[in-house]
Amino acid sequence: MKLLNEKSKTGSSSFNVRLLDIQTNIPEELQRVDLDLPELSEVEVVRHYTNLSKSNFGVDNGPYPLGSCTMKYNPKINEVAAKIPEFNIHPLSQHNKGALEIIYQLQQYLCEITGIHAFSTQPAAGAHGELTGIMIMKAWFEKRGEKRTKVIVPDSSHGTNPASVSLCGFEPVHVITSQSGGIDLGDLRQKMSKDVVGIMITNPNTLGIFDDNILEITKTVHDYGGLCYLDGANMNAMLGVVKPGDFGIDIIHLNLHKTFSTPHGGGGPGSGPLGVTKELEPFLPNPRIIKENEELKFEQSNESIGKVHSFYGNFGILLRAYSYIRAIGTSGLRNVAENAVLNANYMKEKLKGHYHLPYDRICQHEFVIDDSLMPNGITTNDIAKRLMDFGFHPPTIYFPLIVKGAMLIEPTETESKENLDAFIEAMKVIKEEAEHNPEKLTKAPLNAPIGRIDIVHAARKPKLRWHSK
Amino acid sequence: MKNPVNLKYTKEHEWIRIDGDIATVGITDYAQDQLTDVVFVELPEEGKQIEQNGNLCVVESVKSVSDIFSPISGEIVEVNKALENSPELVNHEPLEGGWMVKLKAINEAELDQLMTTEEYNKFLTGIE
Amino acid sequence: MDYTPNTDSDRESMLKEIGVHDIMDLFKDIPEDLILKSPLRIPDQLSEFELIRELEKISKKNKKLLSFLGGGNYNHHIPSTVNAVTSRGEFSTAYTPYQPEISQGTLQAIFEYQSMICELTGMDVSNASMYDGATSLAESMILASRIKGKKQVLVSQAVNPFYREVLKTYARANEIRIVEIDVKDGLTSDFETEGSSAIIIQSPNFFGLIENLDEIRKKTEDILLITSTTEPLSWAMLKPFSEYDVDIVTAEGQSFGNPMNFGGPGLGIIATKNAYVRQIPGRLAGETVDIHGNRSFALTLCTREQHIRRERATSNICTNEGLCMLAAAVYLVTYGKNLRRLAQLNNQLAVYFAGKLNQIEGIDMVFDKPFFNEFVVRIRKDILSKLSDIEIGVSLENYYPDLKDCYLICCTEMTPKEDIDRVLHEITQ
Repeated sequence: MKLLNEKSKTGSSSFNVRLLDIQTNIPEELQRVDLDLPELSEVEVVRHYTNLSKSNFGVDNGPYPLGSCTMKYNPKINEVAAKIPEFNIHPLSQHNKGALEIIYQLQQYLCEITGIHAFSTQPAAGAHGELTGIMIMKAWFEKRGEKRTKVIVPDSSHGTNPASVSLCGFEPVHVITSQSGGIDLGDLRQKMSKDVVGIMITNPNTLGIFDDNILEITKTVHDYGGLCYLDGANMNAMLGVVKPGDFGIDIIHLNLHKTFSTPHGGGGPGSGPLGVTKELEPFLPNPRIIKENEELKFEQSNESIGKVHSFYGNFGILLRAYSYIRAIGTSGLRNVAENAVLNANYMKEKLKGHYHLPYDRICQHEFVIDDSLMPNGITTNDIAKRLMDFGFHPPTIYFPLIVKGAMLIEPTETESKENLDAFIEAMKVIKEEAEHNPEKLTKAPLNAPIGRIDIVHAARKPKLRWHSK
Repeated sequence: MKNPVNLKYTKEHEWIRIDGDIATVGITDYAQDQLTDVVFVELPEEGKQIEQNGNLCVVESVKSVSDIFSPISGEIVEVNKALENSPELVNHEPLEGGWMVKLKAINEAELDQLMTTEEYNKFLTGIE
Repeated sequence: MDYTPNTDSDRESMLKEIGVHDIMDLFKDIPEDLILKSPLRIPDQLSEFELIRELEKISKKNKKLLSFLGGGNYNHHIPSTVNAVTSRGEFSTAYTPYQPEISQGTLQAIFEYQSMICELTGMDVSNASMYDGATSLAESMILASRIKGKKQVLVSQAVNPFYREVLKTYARANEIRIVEIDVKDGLTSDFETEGSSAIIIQSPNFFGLIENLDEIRKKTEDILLITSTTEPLSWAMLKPFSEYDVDIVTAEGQSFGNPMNFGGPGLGIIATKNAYVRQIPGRLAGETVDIHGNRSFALTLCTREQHIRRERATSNICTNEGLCMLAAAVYLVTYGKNLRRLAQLNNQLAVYFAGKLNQIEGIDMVFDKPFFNEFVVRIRKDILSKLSDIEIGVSLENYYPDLKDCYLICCTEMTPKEDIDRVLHEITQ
């Protein structure tokens, strides 16, 4: 499709602005000479993006079993909530009690759901929450006058974990995954020392397994004075079933754009609220939003790590998550976890025998298969591309890194049994094709808006913007 | 096997060739195949002193980043500027046009620790 | 409400297929003591209409007054095209475009956004957005100290005070030293560059004033020059930063098509020179071809990012502000070249308001310098008391103790001349 710049026609924009008869105060030498933004009529702008949207695939188009991303249905009521005019106020407005109430109430709900003492909604995404959490760990040990340098990260972790660790000047130390798919306790014990700041755990982990040694793990870290961080990206499986605060977690971030149904927006915006224990509460980002004598207000703490966002985080996303929690309520939350886990186990059992399951055991909200049983050199990437032809978004591929050719599948609770069956059927057909008609896979996708894309070319000769010829 | 006899090899799949007092370093055919399509080579500065097994350069494919280590110590006299615009040379001609760095003032004694072609081929059979 | 489509009989037959009897059999890896015995203490479900009623009730506890607040978040008109596009589920409910064959819509929109940001700033490369203006700036500070290898940066005190707080937070974690530069007559004053990696300047600065970047660049040849902008509408009128040889341009892009939203989400803008393209944090969309040779787009240079480089990544950022970026792109192309006229109108309204206020006894312009759409006045307390139903501006004395009784006033197309005249009338009557 043509680019905006290629469609641009001088004088075609009708989005006019009437000026006043007032002289500017800005000297000419500070002003720009020209502004070469594309010019399109309004109808062409709308058609351009409408046509672009047709070559996109969202949850609204079909099942999206992208592991560790929790691509559940995004209820439309959330969008209605976010557009209530009175919520669209300036962050420095003094007449903000409604906005404060939403944030405060959401904090309370998140505390109850996780069993964690206090939340800040400032982080704008999961990785931002991680960074904030590691900063709090750093501040905690600084206050105690301890110089610790290492953070333990399992080899199955999200890439954001080690990146957040090093962004705070700490050294990530990897622990290996045991045969059964949890953290290898022996390896953990060996790597623990008084030099360890803490551990970043994902539980259920990125293999979809709830670590049955979780209490032993958190105890081992606590015994050395370390802190336990939970990457809450996979909270969906635990809603109303188990609270991270009960298994020794000191710090947790949640992804409201995963568990709490706010849309991913083609990459964002998200929200990554951070929760901590009572001991760590004073270190949360400033300002906190608290209730004192029935009055909601901002509060500054002297021990806070400081601000991590221009204002108070992604309020528009908080509002959607609040709306979601209120809509489904306490029974709905538990229902989410149950159905998410049920759907994943059902899919896993039905795919077993057709695809290799590196960890063949009960899973939580997601599970991993790999391409080791595929004939004719068919890879995970081929399978992913071919799934598009069947109307599915592919699973997460080549992650976690510890499984070669991994496909991480997370159906979510909002898919029906019929959709799960259709996906399972597509996977079986693909397996057949791999044996008898492998070309269909290596050339896939065959029916997508565009053929398989050459990502090598994109990286070797980066072209990152439009240029007039 | 594409591995010529006048080269020496490391377990990390680098090769080294000595011409007079200059040593040329690159990665083997096996290594480029494992890396898949190379899209970028981050070359070091010329004139830099490098230790044996020190970090020589970084090779990137679309989905991976790999460190290349120096088989021996020496001073970097030249880097392969052709890789800046044509990183695919590493895939197409790993032993010729895809070379990465030339070293001088090398420590010849260190060469003895490296594998001969015969040894490297045997080493590869062990991996596969 | 409930969004789980499985019926009771579905659940039953699925459990049977799995080979278990009870749903709790699937949670048997969780130590039994940890399983919750009672429901969460959260109110129970609501219907859609009950929920909307509740939310509307809460929303009314906010009050929307005539407001001249700016200082990092701006009330601009959002063209109707923006919502029409961003509310399409194909865009809003998609993930990050890791599978380019079914994400061309998002990817081309990113590529076009990157192109428009490059045009506005004059820079070579823009990414696909960061969290917000403050974190874009903080990541640039880290980037600069990595490039230059010195753990000290200069920061003008005319940079938005909230942004400076975020910089301090990130600097502390990275063990970077921040040296603040005084403000003189509203502009960044003298400084020494020795020992620093970069200097951070906001323009238009927190007081709305246009900084003298020509002079600053002359004094900073040996370090990186990083700019921050909270009101990028100014770019449509002002000389692009590339003409001052700025190294890294950052901004808050909320002004471009995103509501105020009590401060978020907006979008962080970051743009640099080609030389730093492999250092830039976040996602980049690039042009390529498919197997049939058709032009297409894909995320590229991904080896910079955390999912590949892990602890050695240029940043830990993953989720960005994709949909807000899309809003910004639609906003920019809807206005097209007329964006400049919108900028001029904003400037005219501010010039008009400032001029009138300055004539009133008890109100003084604090700085006599060119500004864009924000300016600072000192208002006598008795005058202020007449303005109880107006949010006249951001009170500055909390952030700058010597600016007692001073307010940062912002004008946009949403504060038309009639509104300004109403305020003037209330003050003078």
